[in-house]
Amino acid sequence: MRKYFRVWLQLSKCAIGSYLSNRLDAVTYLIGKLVRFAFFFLFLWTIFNYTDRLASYGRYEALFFFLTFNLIDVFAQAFLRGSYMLKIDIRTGWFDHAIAKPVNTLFWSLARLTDILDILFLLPIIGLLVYVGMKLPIMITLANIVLYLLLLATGLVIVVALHIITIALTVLVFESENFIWLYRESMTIGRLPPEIYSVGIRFVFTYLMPIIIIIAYPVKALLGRLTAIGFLTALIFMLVFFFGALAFWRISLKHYSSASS
Amino acid sequence: MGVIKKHLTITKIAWQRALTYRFTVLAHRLGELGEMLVLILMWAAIYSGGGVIKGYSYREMITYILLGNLINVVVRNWLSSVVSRDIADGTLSQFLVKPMPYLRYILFREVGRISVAFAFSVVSSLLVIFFFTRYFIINTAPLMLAALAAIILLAFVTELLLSFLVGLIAFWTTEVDGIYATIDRLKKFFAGGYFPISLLPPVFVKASFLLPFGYSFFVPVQLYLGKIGIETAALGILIQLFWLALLYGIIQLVWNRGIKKYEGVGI
Amino acid sequence: MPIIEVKNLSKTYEYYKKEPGFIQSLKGLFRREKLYAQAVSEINFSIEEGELVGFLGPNGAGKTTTLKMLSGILHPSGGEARVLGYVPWKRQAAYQKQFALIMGQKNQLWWDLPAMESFILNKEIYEIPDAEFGKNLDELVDLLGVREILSVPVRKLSLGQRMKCELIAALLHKPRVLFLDEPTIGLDVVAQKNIRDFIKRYNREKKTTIILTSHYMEDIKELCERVIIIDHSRILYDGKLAELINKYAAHKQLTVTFNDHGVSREQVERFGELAEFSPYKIVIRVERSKAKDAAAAILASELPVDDILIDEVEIDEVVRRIFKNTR
Repeated sequence: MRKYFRVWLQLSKCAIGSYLSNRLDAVTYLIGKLVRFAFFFLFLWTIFNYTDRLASYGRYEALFFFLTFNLIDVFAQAFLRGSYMLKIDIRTGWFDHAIAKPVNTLFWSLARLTDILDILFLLPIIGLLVYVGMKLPIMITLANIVLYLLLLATGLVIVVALHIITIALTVLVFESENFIWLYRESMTIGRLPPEIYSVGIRFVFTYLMPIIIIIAYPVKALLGRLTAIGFLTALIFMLVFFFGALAFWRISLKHYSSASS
Repeated sequence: MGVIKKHLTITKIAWQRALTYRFTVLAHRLGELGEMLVLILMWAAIYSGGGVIKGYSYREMITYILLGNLINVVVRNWLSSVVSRDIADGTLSQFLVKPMPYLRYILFREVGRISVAFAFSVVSSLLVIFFFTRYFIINTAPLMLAALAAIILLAFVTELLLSFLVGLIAFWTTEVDGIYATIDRLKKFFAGGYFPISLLPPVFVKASFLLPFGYSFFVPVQLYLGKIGIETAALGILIQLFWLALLYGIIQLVWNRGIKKYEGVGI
Repeated sequence: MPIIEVKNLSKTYEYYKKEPGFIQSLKGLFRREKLYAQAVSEINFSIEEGELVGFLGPNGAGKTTTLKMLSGILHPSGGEARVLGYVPWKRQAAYQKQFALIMGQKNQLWWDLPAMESFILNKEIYEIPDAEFGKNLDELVDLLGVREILSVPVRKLSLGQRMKCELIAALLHKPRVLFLDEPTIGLDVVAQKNIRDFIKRYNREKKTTIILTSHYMEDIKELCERVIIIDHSRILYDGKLAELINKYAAHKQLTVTFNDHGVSREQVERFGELAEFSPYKIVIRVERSKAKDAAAAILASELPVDDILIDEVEIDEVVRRIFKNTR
């Protein structure tokens, strides 16, 4: 554990060093993200100038969904960025080196790149979450907050599992880095309260691609709208996804065929 | 004849290459459609109590999103990254002598590249429109359609020049991806791609008429929905022509500066 | 007991057929044909501790695939292998800490950063204690003479300097087994020699077991007493490099130089097969057993002989002929 923390620290140090030599790209990417974030925030805010309710949620509740989406999305972007590098790493042979080293290949593939700027981006998001949280029109108890954090953790585990599945697919099929984009695109439905979607869509994104479990369940728990069954579902999904993804990863690594030299 | 054939060959090769991006194109497109559907569903939820928002009825809002996205996929392109790649890897050297042959070459190549994405995008957009036929407002006033076609055509060319210009940033730095992403988002906002500009204070609407971006989304749909008249559209076309000339001039200026820098580095 | 043991090791790759042309790529959207390629088939060999063995073979012969299986990167399709008593593809940390892999075309250093950062990364990964890390690093840096470049970003280094840093990164944890895949590829002659000398010295001093693949005969000739020749996924030869010549080169070469007016083709043809001819210098190929007799006959003749040399056929030539015969 200590070893992995030290490896991670050195990797992050390297990532910062790399960033410094690509300053402009790093900064403009962050600005791009901020712009998109700001526009969507403005969009949601503006909508509530013309309506009181969005699928039974008020302004601050809707914003809380949006911010939670960003929290999880940016968290994954910051700490699991390695999965986006995998295809390049396979081509350049970095991945081969990683397999041959006494370091867990899964850890390496997920965390070999850490986006420091995304970690910085997390701060204003958390700040806004607290602000919007205080503006919520209902009483938030400590129990609600604990439940929120608990389900947030569950959601993050599922996100990690989804990343494991995508990198396993990349190892297997090589060309398939697009699965990560499929996940990214699916995530965007979590920006808004799930009740705006039809029952069919909600089913798909709860039980097939569990975006709603990842993003909406924590918020609902905070708002006191999550049933015990919902809580249980999240727990079961976390376990199934996590262990399923691990098993799939092991299979894929066994069938890894490296890039021709 | 030979010239046309040559250009067609460029187009065809680019087209084939694009097809091998099968999954990329498909996944990207699905993502876009997904995002669009999310927007539609969100508006459906907001309008569920009925009513009109800032002059938009539910059907008008749906039409805004559907038609706007269709127009947007028709006029957009990925020229910037092509240009910056050519600059970065030295392909440009073959075209060093005069600026315009490169511009022309790249435009034809781009027309080929967008054909696949174009076909995918247009067909899928039409399918979605077909799916929402019940809500989609049909307007077939011939004069309006003629003006619409003119605006879209000009917007297409404007977008090409804009992208080309943005692509030239690569003369000064190799770190262009972040810049492009940021510019794209700003463009999309001012084009009304996230939501109708009319929801914002009037100054934004004015800005979107005066800037070239709105003509790829917001303005043509406003025309289609009858929210602006044919006279305003005519004025818009004039603004577009003005922008075309201006962009062309700026491209010349930037190109000449960039080329000097490029030759200085001696790739 | 051998340090590396390989039994009937095989690897088959699966891949998809890609057809050129528009219609075909359109079809490819829906249906793809699966193909198989035999990269390594049932190879056997064993290597003792401290040996330096060369893998020789043309591109795609299966050299790299074999190394990747021994490093645990690839799972074999069949057969067994033991390195240091471990099955490589079980990827046990205990094994991984005892070997290193260097690929000439695929480096492990962080591109934008000074090599030192990558060294520290490996220190953490291999859990090398601080003191030992410092000692090993100093030793390697001095041996390779790269102290000044440790703080320069890798991308700004020459290919030769980069390879030296690759070597350091791979050797910091003092591996007992070292796999070197084309370590000199793309380097200029001087850099090639530097790397070669280092490998030779390192092998001698540390008794590290080394498997080396290379395109350059020079590498193999300089470094390896023993070679394993692979072509078309099979082992063609496994033994001493010197014996390779005896086994495969049935001929010797006689180089004869003449003075005065030189000679004509007719005058020399009877001594053997002419490989090269000019009036003042000829090269004749004769069967090994008859080389001495032929030389004596030439000297005894009327020809204006200036000098005569009996050479082994160049090893490159031998190897080239082996590969040609199997094609």
